[in-house]
Amino acid sequence: MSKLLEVENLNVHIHTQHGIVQAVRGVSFSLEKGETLAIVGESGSGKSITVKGVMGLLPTNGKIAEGSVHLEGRDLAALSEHEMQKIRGCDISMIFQDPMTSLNPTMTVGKQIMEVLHEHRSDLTKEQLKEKAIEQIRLVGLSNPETRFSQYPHQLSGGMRQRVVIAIALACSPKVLIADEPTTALDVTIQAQILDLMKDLQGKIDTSIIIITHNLGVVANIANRVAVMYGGKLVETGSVRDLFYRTAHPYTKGLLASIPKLHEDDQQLFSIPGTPPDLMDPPKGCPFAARCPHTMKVCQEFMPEYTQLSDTHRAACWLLDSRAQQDDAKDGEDHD
Amino acid sequence: MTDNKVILQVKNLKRYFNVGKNQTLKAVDNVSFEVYKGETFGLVGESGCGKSTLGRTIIRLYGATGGEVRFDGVNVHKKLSGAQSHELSRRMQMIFQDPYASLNPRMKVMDIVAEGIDAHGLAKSAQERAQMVVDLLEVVGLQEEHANRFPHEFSGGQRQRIGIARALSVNPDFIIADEPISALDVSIQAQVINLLKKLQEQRQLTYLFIAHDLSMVKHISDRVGVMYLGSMAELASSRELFENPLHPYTQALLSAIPLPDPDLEQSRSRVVLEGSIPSPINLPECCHFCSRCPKATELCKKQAPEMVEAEPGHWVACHLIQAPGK
Repeated sequence: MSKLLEVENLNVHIHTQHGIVQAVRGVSFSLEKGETLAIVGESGSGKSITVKGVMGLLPTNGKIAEGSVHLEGRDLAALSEHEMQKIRGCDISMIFQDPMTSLNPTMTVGKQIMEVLHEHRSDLTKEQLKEKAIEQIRLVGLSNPETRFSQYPHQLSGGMRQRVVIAIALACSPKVLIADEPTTALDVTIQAQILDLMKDLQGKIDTSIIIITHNLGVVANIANRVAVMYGGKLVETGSVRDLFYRTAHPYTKGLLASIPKLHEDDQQLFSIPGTPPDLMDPPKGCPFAARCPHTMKVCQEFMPEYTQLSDTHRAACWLLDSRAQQDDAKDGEDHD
Repeated sequence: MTDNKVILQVKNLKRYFNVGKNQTLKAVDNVSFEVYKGETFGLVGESGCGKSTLGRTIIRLYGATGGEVRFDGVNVHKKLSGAQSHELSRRMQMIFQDPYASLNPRMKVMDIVAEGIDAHGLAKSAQERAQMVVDLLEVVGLQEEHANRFPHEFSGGQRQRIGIARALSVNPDFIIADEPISALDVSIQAQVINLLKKLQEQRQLTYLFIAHDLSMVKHISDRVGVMYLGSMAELASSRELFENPLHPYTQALLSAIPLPDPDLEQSRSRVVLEGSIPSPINLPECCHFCSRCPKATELCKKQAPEMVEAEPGHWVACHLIQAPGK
């Protein structure tokens, strides 16, 4: 497999009235062809800002302070806005959380799909564009594509709107599809439909997906690989089985333990005490140190390096460091 | 924990809204159930199924179009004397979904929490009032110094704790929690759920817990009711409902939840429902689920099913399921 998208040491700063928020602090990951990567984290962990940085859609007060984003070898961070516009919607496209606000209420569904096609496929005639838009509507599983073509977003339900958003995002068969919480605003039965649709379409048009979510069930359903973010940093990445069955980082462990299991009767839910760090003044050491049950002195002072646990799996935690494990063993001997 | 004393009885409750010319939205239609003292009754369903309207009608934020709600034997929608009404609003409290919208941004936490204390005259002096607020804040895991701050200075989880403190300030018996955790992050959700459980044990509270997150409802509830388009589809003990769902909608709903376990999640077969919920305006007289039900028959399109007790304590409204002995 080849690396399609490579993000290296990405740092994003948001300038606010009160100071600089270091929303993303040195995030590196890569996306391979045909795979689905899930980025998991709580609100404020920097997951949305990371992909907005990749897309070049940062708010006006946001800047990529350091790092690079390479799509098939091209550095996106160095491109001009005009060049970026050609890539956006064509090579990389995005699905947003709320289908209510990401569609234009004054344009018909068909026109909105044609708009994207027109932008990137200037060789097509108007009839061809319309034909292609209808085909796109059919592809995302909406009934009566011809009728839908001339309907407005308010005439559709939430699940149907999200299908339209997907149709727009996939209109130019992008290489990378970024989905920012695509199912959070939807009901569970509709969520299941949309997840099935995304998996189905991924096979059909051969695109790679980055999905951002906080729902670990969705991750287990759709992802091949997972990256966990906390306090603007990636704390653990691995294959989906690494993450669920060989969980290494205490934050990921806490996250998994704090969701109730449907098939088990447990009385007390594990809860992570405290709240996430303030990224205006990020902690010097590990961002999770203040809430971690295993905090050591070193955690508060130094940011842990990544420990490579297997070919696919790595985590940033001092407990996994070879030196820490020696200490642990020594401690064990002392107690004996 | 639960004894079999009924604290809340909802009987054929209806709440309709007029939405323009000859159009009626039946948000809650013929819903009946009972809540026992000391239990947590979970109410689940997708958006638009009427679960929040049901909660709001029970606590008298909406009037009832038909049917009745009896709280400790008192019909809450009948004309009540001032004292009765006052007592009722003290004993029934509510926690809202959005901790950002449900706290007045211009009021200090002290005054937000003390609003109920003032309204019911529970504190004799300003000093006692302040002490009560501080005690309440400690109960919900906040500190004394938080009392003089404004809501915007708190995180979502902390705000929800303030909302809980406000509900507790008048010593209620019964709390309606309308999606109390859906606006919160996963790790904060567990904190709030554990707090609610602790308070229930300490104060013998009864909860009506409204949510769309089925795994959380299963975790906290003793019994669960599943709603679909204004009516109750199934009602059973939480364990029974999740292990042996009878209604096709409950079965689909359960199979649609993505489980945080990749091997299980990618290998299990699921019932994926076609389409989405039909508009609740001017619904025809039929089983409301028949348009999406994989097992629908002709009968389902003609007649709405009655609730039957399929197994002891397990009620279901579906034509395909007969009460035993019939």
